[in-house]
Amino acid sequence: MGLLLVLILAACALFADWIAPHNPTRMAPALKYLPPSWLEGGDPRFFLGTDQLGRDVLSRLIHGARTSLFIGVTAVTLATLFGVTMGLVAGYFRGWVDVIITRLADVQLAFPFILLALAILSVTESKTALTIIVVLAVADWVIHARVIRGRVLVEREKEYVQSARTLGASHWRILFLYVLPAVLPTAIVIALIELAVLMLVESVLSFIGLGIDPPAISWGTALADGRRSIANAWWMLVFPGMAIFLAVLSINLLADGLADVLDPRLKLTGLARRIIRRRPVRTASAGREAANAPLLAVEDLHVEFPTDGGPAVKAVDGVSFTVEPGTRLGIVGESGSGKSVTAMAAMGLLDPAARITNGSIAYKGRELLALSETELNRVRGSGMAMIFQDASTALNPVFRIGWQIEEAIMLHQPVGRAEARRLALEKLRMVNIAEPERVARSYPFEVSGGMQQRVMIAIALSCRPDLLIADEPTTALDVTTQAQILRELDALITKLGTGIILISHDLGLIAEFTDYVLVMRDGRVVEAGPTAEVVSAPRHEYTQMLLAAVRALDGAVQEEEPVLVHAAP
Amino acid sequence: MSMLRLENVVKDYPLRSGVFGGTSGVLRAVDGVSLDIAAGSTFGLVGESGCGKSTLSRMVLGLERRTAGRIDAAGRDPQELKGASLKAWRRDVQIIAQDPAGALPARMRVRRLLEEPWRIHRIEPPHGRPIQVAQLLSQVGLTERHGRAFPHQLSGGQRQRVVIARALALEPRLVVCDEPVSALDVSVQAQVLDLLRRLQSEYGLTYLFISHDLRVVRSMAAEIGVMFSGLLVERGPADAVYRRPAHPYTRELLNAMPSIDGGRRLRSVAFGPPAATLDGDARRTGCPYRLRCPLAIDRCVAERPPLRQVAPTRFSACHRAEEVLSATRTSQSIGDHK
Repeated sequence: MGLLLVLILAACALFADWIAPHNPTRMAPALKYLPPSWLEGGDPRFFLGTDQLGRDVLSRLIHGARTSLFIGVTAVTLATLFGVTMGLVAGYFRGWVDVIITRLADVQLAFPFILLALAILSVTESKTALTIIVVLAVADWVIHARVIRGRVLVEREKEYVQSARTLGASHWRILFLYVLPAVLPTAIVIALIELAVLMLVESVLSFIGLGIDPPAISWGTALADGRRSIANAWWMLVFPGMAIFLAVLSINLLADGLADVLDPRLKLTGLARRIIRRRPVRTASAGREAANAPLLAVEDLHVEFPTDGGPAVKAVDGVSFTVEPGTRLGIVGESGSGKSVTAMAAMGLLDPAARITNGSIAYKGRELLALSETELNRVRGSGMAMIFQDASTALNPVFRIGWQIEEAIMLHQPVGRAEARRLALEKLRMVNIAEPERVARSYPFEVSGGMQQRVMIAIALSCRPDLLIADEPTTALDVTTQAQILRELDALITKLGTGIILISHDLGLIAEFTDYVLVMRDGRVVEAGPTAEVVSAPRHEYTQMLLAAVRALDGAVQEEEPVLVHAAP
Repeated sequence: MSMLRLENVVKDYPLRSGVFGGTSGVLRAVDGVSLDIAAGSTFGLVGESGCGKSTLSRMVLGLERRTAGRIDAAGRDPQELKGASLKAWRRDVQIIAQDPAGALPARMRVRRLLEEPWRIHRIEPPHGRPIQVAQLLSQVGLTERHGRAFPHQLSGGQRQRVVIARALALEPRLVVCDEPVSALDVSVQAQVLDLLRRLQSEYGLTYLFISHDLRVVRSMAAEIGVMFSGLLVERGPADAVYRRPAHPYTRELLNAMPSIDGGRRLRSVAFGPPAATLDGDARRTGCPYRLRCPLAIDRCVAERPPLRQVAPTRFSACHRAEEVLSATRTSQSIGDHK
């Protein structure tokens, strides 16, 4: 849509001489103020009417597109080139270069634009397209520089920049070959948005008489002409206005679309999202007595992800299991085995692109797939909770930790702020945080990764869920922290009688902490049973392979008890 | 012949505070580390995040200036080099980093990014670039098909292989492996570690192998060092350290590892609450591990234990290292009589 309109606009600008029905500057005083052709008194030759000098409004619009677009595109190109370069240099080299560039940008942002425009335009004798372009570009580069600098600050810390340096790449090579491509999509999208802004600004400048000198035509000057004749020729004002509106709108639409397309990693989901909506299937064995139903019963679950063109990927292909209160179920498998998708399906948190094509997920006998989003929300949190791998992204960075736990408590329990605060501290103490008051006052980034994960667990447990799903809860953590957190989790669920699903690729972890295990591969359960049995006598060769991988690391030292466990001090 | 030698390497970071960004002290990230890696061998460095192991590797790679001490990597001190000689030295010392942190530029096809090292150094490989790229790919178990892909189209294990292939393009002598398998599934880890071992024996590479996983390090390295809070707290032959640690921190690391055959040991191990971190002066004196240590005594507050020889081939920075060593041998608890 945006693209189509922009193409039409560009065509108008390029081929104005052929498209326009009349010479836009030819005056015919006899034909002045003719209304559009479809109105009374209109002349069929002038579709959108004529102006105060008898010039064809449509032709002037089409030619105006050329000027407006030319000025806009050139100004944005200049501003982008300069701004992006400044942003790259400032963000990458930091230090005094950064200070000078950002201070310069700050000063300019604080400076009133109109004053700047007046200053530049007053020193030039005539207002040609070039002077307008210079005014716009000078005003605009700051935006590009600031946005790009911010992006570069993120990129320069990434591992690939360091790797490129160890390869011996020069700073300029890293900047233009590695960092620039990474920030380019942002730059392009900003440029498009700014193009729309600059076209507006140009018309504003023209409107207040600072625009391009006649006989050159831009939409802004057309608008200015129209204003003077608004009483007797509204079409002179309305049509240029609509042209500007449509142009800006379509460019912004295009910018939006482009932002999605430009990131290669978003391509598939972006497209798929638009075509497929989630379609839950109702095959529940509903109405079972809640009293003797298991905590969670998943039956013959099938989840598919549509792909571009090809057949849908079967992420989960007929998985069944049950979780009883107070038991620990482990799901083990490699990445892509469908273990996380299974968990997300149970929580009702599947990616919108995913489709549940068959199966049933019953929580205490209640079919979850048949629930509305609101009903599901009530079950989530109070009945079920989830802990994700990356606590740093799961916590909101702008709120204090204590506040986030209080929110979770107040969402599910009818308590006031003061009581919630007391409960929050209690939860923090429960997950073995030594100074709960200090941690509650901190922001997530102020505490370590292990601490963040403890906070996540505190939040998940703050609503006393009956079922806790932990998806690789400790994979990002050090082994010592991992052991500590899992142990605490284990003790807590024993105390509270919570059922837990622990998902991990590490069979060692699963062996330590679960009662039952599902081994998943390619969306199917290849082996299931009590953990101790599966580990000591695996039947499926895939399970044997997973075990061998862990044993290869553990090494031959296993015959000899490696270390003692000494008592707590 | 030693390929990498560190002598009392120290790295301080200035701590900024307040609105004016004045320095209010220093954070000692690496505190006098010495080690020596013979050409063609592997030294494993273990420790938890924030212990200084990555800062150490950045100094070895010449990406960070040290505050004190000496570094000799592949015959040169990276800090003394600049310009053309630095660039030439970089061919000898490469890094195999962890991919999910973004070790590969997202917008280059694999083939292109494997050519990158030669382009940077303006080398025309002997058989021409396409053939050399194909060779690199096959060395790490990938094919031409993978060469046409973008990194995000590959699996984690395949991406890690690409990272390895690129590091090998310049035929380095010393390779810093910084958590090369931490993000991979256990089953894929084994394959990548096998690959690293094979490449080492084929090209005589020297590895500084860094990981937080003691199992992985032990399976790769003949000798390992354990870092805690910027200090090397234990050093010794990998198997010996793994079987009989000589420092209580190493023992904590070993105890924390999940194991299939451990009989649910982790569930029963007593872990104290996460210890408060030491700040300021407390960090500079005494043993940095004392707050977490079940064996801590008064002496640990007063006197920092130096890294000393506690048995043939074994070094430990603990006042009670001998007790730790013998306790593990007899499988007796020694935590009680402090």
